[in-house]
Amino acid sequence: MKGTAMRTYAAVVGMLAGVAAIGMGLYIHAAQPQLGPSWHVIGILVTSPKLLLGLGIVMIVGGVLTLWNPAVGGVIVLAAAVLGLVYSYTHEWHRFALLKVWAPAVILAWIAGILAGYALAQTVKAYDEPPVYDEDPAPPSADSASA
Amino acid sequence: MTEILRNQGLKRVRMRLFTAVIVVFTLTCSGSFGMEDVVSSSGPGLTLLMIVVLPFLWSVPMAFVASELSSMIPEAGGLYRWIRRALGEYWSFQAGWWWTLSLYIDSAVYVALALGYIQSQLSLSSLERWLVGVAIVAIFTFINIRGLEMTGWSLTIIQVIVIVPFVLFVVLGFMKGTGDPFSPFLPPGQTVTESMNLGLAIMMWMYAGWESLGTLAGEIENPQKVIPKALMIGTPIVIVTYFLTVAALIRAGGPGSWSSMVSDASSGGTDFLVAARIVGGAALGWFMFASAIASNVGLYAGYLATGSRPAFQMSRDRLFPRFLGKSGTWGTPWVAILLMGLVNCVLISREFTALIVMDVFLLMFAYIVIFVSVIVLRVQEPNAVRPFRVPLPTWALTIWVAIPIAIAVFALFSNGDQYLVGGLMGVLSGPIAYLVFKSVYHGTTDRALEGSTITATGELTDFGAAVEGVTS
Repeated sequence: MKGTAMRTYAAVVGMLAGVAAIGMGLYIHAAQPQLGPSWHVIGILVTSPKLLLGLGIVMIVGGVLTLWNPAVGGVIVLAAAVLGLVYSYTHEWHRFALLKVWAPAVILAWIAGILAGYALAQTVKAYDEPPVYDEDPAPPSADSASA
Repeated sequence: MTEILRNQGLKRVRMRLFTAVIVVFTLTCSGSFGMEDVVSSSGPGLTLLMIVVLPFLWSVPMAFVASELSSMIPEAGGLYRWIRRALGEYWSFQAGWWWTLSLYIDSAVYVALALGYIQSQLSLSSLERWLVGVAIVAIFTFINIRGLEMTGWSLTIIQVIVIVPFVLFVVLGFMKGTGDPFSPFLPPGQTVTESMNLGLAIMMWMYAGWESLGTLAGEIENPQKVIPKALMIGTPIVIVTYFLTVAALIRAGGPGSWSSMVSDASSGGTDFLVAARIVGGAALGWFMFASAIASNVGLYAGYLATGSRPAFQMSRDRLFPRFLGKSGTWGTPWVAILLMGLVNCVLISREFTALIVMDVFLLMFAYIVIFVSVIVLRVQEPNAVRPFRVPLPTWALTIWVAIPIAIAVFALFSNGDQYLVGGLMGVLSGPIAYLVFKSVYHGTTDRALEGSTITATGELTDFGAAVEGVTS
């Protein structure tokens, strides 16, 4: 599989992770808005639905950036998933409920990270990789042939 | 060309089979401290049954798989190199990262446990406690940097201190004890599944570490023969050690004491130290106390040795910072060892419970990838030289390794939500680390590394000589 195809898959799955996070954010906003006490980040009240919506957007941006650079995009998607897990971990009494809410986004982000890793491996030239010459070598000239 | 000299700069030492068995014993057992919790949560009978049965489903497969892979690919870094050959750079990096991260945390736990025992008698201030910890780390970091020969000697001395009190304890426990080792079979009112849950998680931990010796293959003479033999001899020794010591513990504790058994009885209950005092008086109690400290210090020294090698090899493969791939005049990866020691010094100075919860996931995922790798290599390279081969056809081996994989998956979900969420954070750090390090250091190709490093008689092939960095 070409690196560009893998990169596209990584981007699509990364964006899907974001969509899953947003979807779950909207769902718990309607169904369980009280799920998980809030975080106060630089004066902004971050509730569980808000965090899902915010990080979902970050994941979509990360997914789009994967098309440009798999490393940058992949790290953004995965970092957003890790933040969601940190939020779940720190809310001891709702930890499992929050994990269930975050699970689709986290799993998709993990898959996106794996695909981004493969895309990166196919596009980054290894340290000891021999150079690839795109152009055919020039045919020997008549002078060098006679010599 | 220089990049394929994987073991270049490392000094191979002649490790006697006895020393190799001691290393295996240290990495997989080092005394039975910790088993007390299994007895109280699973019941005496089920605990002893699990001690006998679980190895054949969990640790014996890993011992056999590690033997086959380390005989086939006897290179420094062990599991990292095995997986690289089977599944390529991405998954080898993941497993190497998870395993290394897990051991960085784990090794600090052993120092903290040794300090806990010392603290229980000496009432140290937090600064004094940290300084004692740093001294332990410094001593064993130096010994490890000095070479495997000295590490082997130190582990032998440590294991004598660990084992002698246990031998006395087993004899006195069976002679003087009054408890029935098999009764009750389960804690009253519990089903087998309920009883197994916590006990199984602890016992999986107690029976882990069989893959570790393989990471030292680049520094042992004739590793393709020594490592499998040591693992095959070490396996029954560990099972017998656990069985006899736990049976003696239940007997020494007396009737009904099993329900109050805890690994740290400083605030009540029965542990090996208390039971030793019951059957052997204060003298055996002090011997057991020394054994407990030596056990944790030995585990630390062992895992400092093995935990640093994959990072060294990943650096050689240009997936980690270059300085970690340096080897010194003593032929050891001194920077990787020193870094691990420094991280341990930082960790023991603070509360790192949040990091411990990652451990199970990191190790279990690494194990799953190792089990998958052995099957992939059987399929991809059926004719490769394997001085030790698991005596099963590939289809049967697949079924056999499916059992520990299933147990590992079960363990992922059986420790509660704290471990699940914390573990997932640790696992996701793997893909992030790969994306960062691959971008920065670019990795190497493995085209030059295709093929076996050794002949059927255990000699280096021309290619093996190139890997070793020696003239063939």
